[in-house]
Amino acid sequence: MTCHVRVEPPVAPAFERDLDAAEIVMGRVSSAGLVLPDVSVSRQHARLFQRDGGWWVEDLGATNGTELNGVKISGPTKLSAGDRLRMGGTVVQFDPPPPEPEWRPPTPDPMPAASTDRQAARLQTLNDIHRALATAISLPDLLDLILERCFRVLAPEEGVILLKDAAGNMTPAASRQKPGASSAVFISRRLVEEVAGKGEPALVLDAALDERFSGSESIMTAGVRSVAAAPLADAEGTLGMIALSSRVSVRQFSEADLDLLVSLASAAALRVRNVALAEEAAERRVLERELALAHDMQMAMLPRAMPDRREVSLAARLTPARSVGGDLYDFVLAPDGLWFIVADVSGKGVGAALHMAVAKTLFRATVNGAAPRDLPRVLARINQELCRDNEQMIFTTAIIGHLDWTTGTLTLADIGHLPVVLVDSQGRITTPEVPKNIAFGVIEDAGFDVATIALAGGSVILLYTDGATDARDTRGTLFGAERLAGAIAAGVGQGDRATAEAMVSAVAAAVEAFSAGAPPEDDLTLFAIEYRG
Amino acid sequence: MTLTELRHLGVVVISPSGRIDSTTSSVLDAHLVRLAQSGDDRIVIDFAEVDYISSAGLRVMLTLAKRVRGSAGALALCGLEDAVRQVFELAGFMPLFTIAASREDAIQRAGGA
Repeated sequence: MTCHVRVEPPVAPAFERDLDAAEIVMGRVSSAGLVLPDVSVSRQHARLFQRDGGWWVEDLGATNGTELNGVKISGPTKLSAGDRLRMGGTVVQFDPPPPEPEWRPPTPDPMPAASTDRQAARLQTLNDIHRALATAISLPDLLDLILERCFRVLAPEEGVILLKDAAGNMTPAASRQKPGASSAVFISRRLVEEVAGKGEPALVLDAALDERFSGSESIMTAGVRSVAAAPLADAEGTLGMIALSSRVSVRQFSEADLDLLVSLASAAALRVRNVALAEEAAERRVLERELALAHDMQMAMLPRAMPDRREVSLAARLTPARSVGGDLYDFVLAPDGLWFIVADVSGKGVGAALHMAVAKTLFRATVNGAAPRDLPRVLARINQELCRDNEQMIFTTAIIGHLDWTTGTLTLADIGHLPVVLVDSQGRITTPEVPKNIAFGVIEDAGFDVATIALAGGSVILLYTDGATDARDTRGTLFGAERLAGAIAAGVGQGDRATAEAMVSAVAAAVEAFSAGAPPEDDLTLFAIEYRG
Repeated sequence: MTLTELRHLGVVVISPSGRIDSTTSSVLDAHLVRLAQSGDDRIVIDFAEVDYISSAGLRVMLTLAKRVRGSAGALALCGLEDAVRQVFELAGFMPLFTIAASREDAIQRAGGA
């Protein structure tokens, strides 16, 4: 048993269909048996089905529900001739009485013979277009498809789709020409303002006589031209516009053509919005997944427990930033002392995390069994490895050193990093002079210089990354070296011997309080070594 | 960050202004890559209007220097105020770049003729 429905979408023109399947799903999704071109309709909104010789309707859990003659339905409900179903902004009439011969008020139409037959054919075309557009998955494909359909049903010589870019400017995103047509895209700024700016369709019967094309802004090509243009707009606003043009001698557009273009553009806008959102969401998901992976890799590389021995005690904090990663700290306990590293890999994401893993592995491998006097050679080897295949110029800054806890001798190298802070046993805060070396990963045959410092028992050295000095408050002020010195002084306390843990806690708290409310710019690493003597 | 570009004596002078950080450095990098693609390899970067450069910005400078060396072009930097100069110094990058005292000097050292 067949039934007949008349569909009245909110924007697109109404259309009618005969249905004869056992079950028909109605919704926005292109695979629906009855596609409803309406953003307020759910993808699979409701179903019509046959039972006991009659037709029934059932809501499929749609967000906005389904109304039958103004009453929301809650289960399968039998339909009678003339019933009105409302889904979102769309009305579907079930077996409506035959339409009035002129259901649409006649509009002045320069194209003759725009009969109802022809209208019906165009409406059928629109439903086909809506289905076809649903097959495109990328934005360029979709835009090409929209133009292809425009050419098929409206036969212009040239067509262009403008889309609003991130800065709000309308820029050409796709165009198409009939073979042999002029290559210039025929559009004026005034027309863009009128159509995309105000959201109004425009019909230009003869561009030469139309003031929207007067003046120097127009790009005139040979021949008198007719233009039809419609906004690509949905409930959330204007996304862009479609403009079609032709020489009048070849094709002059009518009001009926414009109506069809407007309907086509509204169906297209819905798809453009969905595809753009899907692409944006997919990019964001990929980025987020990558950042999450990089974060996990970074955290997995950090030592789990900090030693607290008779000779030495260590404390560390690493507060990762959401988007920029790359900090690392590590240490190796040798029989007579401690090797340590604090590093900052430039770059972010998995690339930086992999570089970080390489740096850590190289550090562990090269210091294993090495003597403090070997440090320059250790550094040269790490650098050579980090220069290898480094097309992206990912560089790594680091402080690498060795503390001999039997003698208190500190061997220290600054590889393009921030200075080290030393708090001696009397609580004096100094910055020991350490020769500057170029960051790892830049110059393959770079040489490295190191400093040797004699530490007294009760000294603490603090290593940090630029997440500390470059932290910003909500007004954009940098934390800076002076505030860092103040925070360290607070960590030392009055007349007390500094401890590694107190120093790290004090600086971390100061940076956190300073930058409260501002997103962290960069990873913040603090690493303190307390030499107990 | 905004970028200003002018050409003088066959040298392209790029003047970024504001902050060159992990977000904005990609804009600068993309611009410099486009320059390279159009065959411009005599370049001056004027940092006079730059308040801050992060390690991401330094990386852009390193890749630029490498590209310019690869094409036998020339690169000079000028206008390095303390905040920016310090970042180059900390990373140990000063010896890698030609640092000029003024824009005119930089244009000359980038081979302006």
